[in-house]
Amino acid sequence: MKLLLVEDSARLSAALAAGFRGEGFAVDHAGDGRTALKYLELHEYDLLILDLVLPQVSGLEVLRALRAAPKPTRVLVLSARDQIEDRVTALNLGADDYLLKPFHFAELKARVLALLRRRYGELSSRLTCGDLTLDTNARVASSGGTALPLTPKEYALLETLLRHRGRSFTRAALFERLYDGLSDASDRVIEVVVSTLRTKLDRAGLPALIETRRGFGYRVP
Amino acid sequence: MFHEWVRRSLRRRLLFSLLLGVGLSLAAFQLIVDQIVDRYIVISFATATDAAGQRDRLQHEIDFILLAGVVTVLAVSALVTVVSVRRGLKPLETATAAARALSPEHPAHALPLEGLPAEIRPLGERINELLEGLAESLGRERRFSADLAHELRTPLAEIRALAEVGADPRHGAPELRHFLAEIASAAEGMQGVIESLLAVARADRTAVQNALEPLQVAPLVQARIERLRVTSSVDPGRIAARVPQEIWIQSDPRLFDALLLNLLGNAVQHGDPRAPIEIDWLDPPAGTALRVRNSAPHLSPQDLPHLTERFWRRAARGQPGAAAGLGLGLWVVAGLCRVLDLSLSFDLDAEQRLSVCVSGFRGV
Repeated sequence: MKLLLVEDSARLSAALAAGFRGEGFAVDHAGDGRTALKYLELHEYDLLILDLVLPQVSGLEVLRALRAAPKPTRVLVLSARDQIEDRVTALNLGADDYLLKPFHFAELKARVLALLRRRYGELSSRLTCGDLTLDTNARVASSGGTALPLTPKEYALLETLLRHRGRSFTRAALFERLYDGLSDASDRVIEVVVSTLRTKLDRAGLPALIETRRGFGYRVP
Repeated sequence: MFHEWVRRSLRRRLLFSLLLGVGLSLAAFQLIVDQIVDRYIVISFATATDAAGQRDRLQHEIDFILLAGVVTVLAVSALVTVVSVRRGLKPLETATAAARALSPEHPAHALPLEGLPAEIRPLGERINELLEGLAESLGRERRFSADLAHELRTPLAEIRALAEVGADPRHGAPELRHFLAEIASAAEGMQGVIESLLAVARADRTAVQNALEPLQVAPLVQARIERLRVTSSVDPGRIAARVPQEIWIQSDPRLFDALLLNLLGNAVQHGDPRAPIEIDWLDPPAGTALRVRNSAPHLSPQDLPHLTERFWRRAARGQPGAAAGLGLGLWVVAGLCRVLDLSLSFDLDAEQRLSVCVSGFRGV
C-alpha cells in the first residue's frame, strides 16, 4: 500500500513515515502543497494523509485538485484546526476522514486501515486464499493458524497480490506500489522479495501460491 | 452619569405632563366657573323674587358641579400623566430589553436608538461604539486562541507520534535515542512558547515597577547563551556578546530573563544559521540599550512594522526565508518592553543585518 504524507512539520512527518514504513507501507512525503500536487501527478496512491495548513498551496486546494480527477485515492485530513467549519469544508470537498492533532498513532493507523478496506470494498480485515489468511489490521500472515515470519515488504507484496487476486502485476508496477517515490533501489528488488516470500510460503505448505506469467508479471490465481 | 441623564429626561417629561394637566384643569375650571356664574345669576333672580325652593335646588347644583369638576380634573390629570410617562419611557424599556440581551457571547448586538429621547441618544450611540470595539477585541482574542491552539497542537502531535512510533520494539537503540532527542527538542520549543506567553500575561506593570532589583547583565546574557547551546544546539562561537561586566540595571529578573530568551531565540531561529549573532551593550545619549544583531537575508524594510505582530512570519514554512519559530518571539519582546517600561526599535542595514534594540534601562 502506498501513502502520500503531506505535512509541513518535518519532525511529525519523519515519525509518521517511520511508523507506517514499519508496517510495510510505502510512504512518500511532501512538505508543501505544490510538491504534493506533483507527487499526485506522478504516482498512484492508495491513501493521502493531508495537513490543511501548508506552504504555497493549502491542503484544501490539494484536496480540490485531487477530487477534480476521477482517482480512487482515499484522503484522511490530519489537522490542528479544530473548528467544525474546517471539518465540514474538508469532508464536503471530498475528504474521507478527519483526525485532529494531537492524536494516537494507533488510532491514525486504524483509520488508515479502515479507509484502505473501503478503498478495496472489503468488509472484513481478513484476506484469505486457501489456508493462507492475512489479518490486515495486525499486519500478520498465517497458514493454518501459524504466523509466517514475513518482513514488512514481503507482507505488503502478499497483501497487494491477494487484494487483486487474478490480476498480474509487472515488476515495475509492484515496485511502484511497494517502494517510496524517492527510493534509490532498482525494481529488480521485487524479484528478491518474491523469491524470499515464495521460500517462506513453501515452508508453510503453500507452494506455487504466487504464479509468474511471462511477460505479464506475478499474480495469485 | 447614565442615571443623571435618565432623571433629567424623566423630569422634563413629568413637567410636560404637569403642564398638560394644569392646562386641562384650567379649561375645566373655566367651564365650572361659567356654570356657577350662570346659576348665581339665577339664584340672585330667585332671591329677588323670594323663590326659596328654586334657590336651594340651584345651590345643590352648584355644589355638585364643584365636586364633579374637581374629581374629573384630578382623574383626567392623573390619566394624562400616567399615559405620558409610559409613552416617554417606552424607548428606554426597549433599550433596557436590548441591554439585557447583551452577553459575552453576543456583545455585538447594538442598542436600538430609534425613539430614544434626544438627550439619551448620544449615550446610546456611545454604548454602541463601545460594544463594537468590545466585539472586535473579543474576535481578535478568539483568533489568537485559535492560532495558539493550532500552533501548540502541532508540536504536541509531534511529541505523541515520536513517542508512540519510537516505542515500537523493532527500533534499535540509535533510532530510539534519535526519537528521544526529537521529543526533547519539540518539548523545549513548546515550553519556551508557553513560558513567554505566561510571562506577558501575568506581568502587571505597576507591580513590576514596584519590584525592580539590581541585575548584573553580563552573567545573565552568558547564561542564556549557554542554555541556547544546550537546547538549540547553537555553536557558542557563533554568538559574540560584548556586554561589560560592570553593567548593572534595575529590572525584574524573571521578565528580563524572558526578554533575553526571546531576543536570542528570535536571532537563532530567524537568522542565517552560519552567520554570527552579536549582542552589544550601547550607551547612547538617551540611555542604556541592549542590541541583538543577526543576519536576516530574506527580510525587507517593509517587514519591520510587522515584526511584533503575533504569529507573523516572513514566509510560510517550507518557503525561502521561512523559520522554525511560531512568530511569537518579538511579539513577546514587545509585550515585555511595555511592562518593563522599555523602548523597542528595529533597523535593517545595507548588509541585511537586523538590529533589535531594547533601550531605556534604568541604571543602578
